Amino acid sequence: MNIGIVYNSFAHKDPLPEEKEMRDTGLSIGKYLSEFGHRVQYFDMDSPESIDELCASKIEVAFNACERIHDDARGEVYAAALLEYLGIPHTRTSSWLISLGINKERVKSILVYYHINTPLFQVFRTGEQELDPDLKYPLFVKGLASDNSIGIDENSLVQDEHQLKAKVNQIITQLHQPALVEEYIDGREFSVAILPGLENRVLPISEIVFQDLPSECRFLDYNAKWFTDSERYQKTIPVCPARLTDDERQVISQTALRCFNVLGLDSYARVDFRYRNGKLYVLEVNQNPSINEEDSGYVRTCNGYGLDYLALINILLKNAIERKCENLHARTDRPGFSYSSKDAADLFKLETNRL
Amino acid sequence: MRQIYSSLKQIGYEVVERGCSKSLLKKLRDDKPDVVFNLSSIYSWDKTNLIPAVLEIAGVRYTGSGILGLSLARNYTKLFPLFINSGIRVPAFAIIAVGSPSSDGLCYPLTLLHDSMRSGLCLRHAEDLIRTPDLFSLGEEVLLMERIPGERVSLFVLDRLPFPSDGDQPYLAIAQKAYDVMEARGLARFDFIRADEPILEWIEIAPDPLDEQLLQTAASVGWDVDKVLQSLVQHSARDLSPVAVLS
Repeated sequence: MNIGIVYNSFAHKDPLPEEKEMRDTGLSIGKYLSEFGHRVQYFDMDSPESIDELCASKIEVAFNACERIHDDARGEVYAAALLEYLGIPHTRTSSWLISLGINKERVKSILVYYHINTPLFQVFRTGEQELDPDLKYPLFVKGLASDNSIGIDENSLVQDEHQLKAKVNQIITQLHQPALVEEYIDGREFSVAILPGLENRVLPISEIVFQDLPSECRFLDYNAKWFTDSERYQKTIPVCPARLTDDERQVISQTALRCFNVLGLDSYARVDFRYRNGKLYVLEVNQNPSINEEDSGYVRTCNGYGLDYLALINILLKNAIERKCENLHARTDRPGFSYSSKDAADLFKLETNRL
Repeated sequence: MRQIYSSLKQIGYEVVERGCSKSLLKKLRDDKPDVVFNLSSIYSWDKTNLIPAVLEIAGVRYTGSGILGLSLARNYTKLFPLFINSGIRVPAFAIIAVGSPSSDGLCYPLTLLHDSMRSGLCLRHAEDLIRTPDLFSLGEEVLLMERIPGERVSLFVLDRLPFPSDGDQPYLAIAQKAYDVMEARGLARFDFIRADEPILEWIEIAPDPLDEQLLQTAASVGWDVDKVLQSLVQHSARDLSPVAVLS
């Protein structure tokens, strides 16, 4: 097949750790596909010429590893949307759902509507806002639209108003986005990988064990994620499969799949939870979990499930093509349609103007 | 479209028409327009919510909303839960899967909304609901909304302000909240059901600038078509900052 790798080279800068991973993920996937015998072209979304080549290309499917356009995280949406506009199936979920999911408040609102439990929260758009009296300390503060644990550090867990205001102001001024303030759920942390397909599969549940870390340090911050020599990285141990009772496993799996479905996702995703006193809380629905071959939780879970990296790549590509075919079918004749346009219009009183 | 083209030229702009083809991005880079007057979502539906991505990558300012706003206006199954969370009152609704025989306790007549359709389908009886699998794929989500009798009120908003005038706008606060939830930009129209606590029923995220109602309202404050269009051009914008744009 003719496969495109849509990625970021970050050739214009000295990339940050998460940017190196984004770049390397795209390059690594391309290498695997080439070795497997596919015709692979690389499209660097940091290069105008490369984007022009993408628009003129004849690739059959794109592995979309692009997360930025010139360092702006909204580029993730635009890259996916451009591929859809060009009619090229790609491996990420639909662009508009990426756009919806970038904002954690939107995601939580939809989960709440469907009665899926998530920590109580409040969005701070200024540092002067008063805390909702329903929210009790300790609280966890992060960027409303941050990814890759950017902005999460030892000050993210706040115990009083002074710490809260300091962290909120830091996020607003340095990350240029509102702050999401949530009740802190001190409990076990689980991640559930969902593999897309004609029938989406929930993979074995992974637990992040915070080994010998004091209670105020039991969360994944930026250092824990990106710096292998940091104490936090070394003391946050992934365990897959997690030790759970059958009932616990079922509840967590079903909730993860429910989150995936109510958000309308249609490609790989990971749902993160905290579990405290028998109650499950959805922390995040990540519709772009890292699939770096070296040390990403998603890939590790797949490996444990019996899927090697190439198998995972192929599943995601196949899913992208199947989705494109499904969308094309949905827009043409539907099986069972037995009414003429006029009949349908009469029957359902089609209104072409306002309601 | 011809009228808009002529009016923009009359105002003094140099105007070039560009269709939505695969070469649009390249053409925009070659043309280097100051502003794109984005008519695609006004006169067409399929995939036009993606056009802002092309415009953003091209680095041009454009009229109207971005991908999220245009997409949410096509997906009331995601939009209404966001409105509920924001305290915006909407008609009683239910999100169901096509093929489900239940209207979830809603009272007929209902309006059915699906993302492939620009407007709603009227369901007068339960039998109408049973026939929906003939039009949509089984299992797809649709939104059912009660049709509430009453007077309708429309409000045009341009970048959070009532358009074209600053007259008394009792529904403005709600429209602004909805505008913010959708991250809308440029001109949008919000349709309410008049009530003590107004009910937001419909959002036209890409209204026709030659909409009769809009032009009548504009005329009442002395605005002609040229002034309306000029205002829209002046309120054009983009997400990516200039330094983030590929040259």
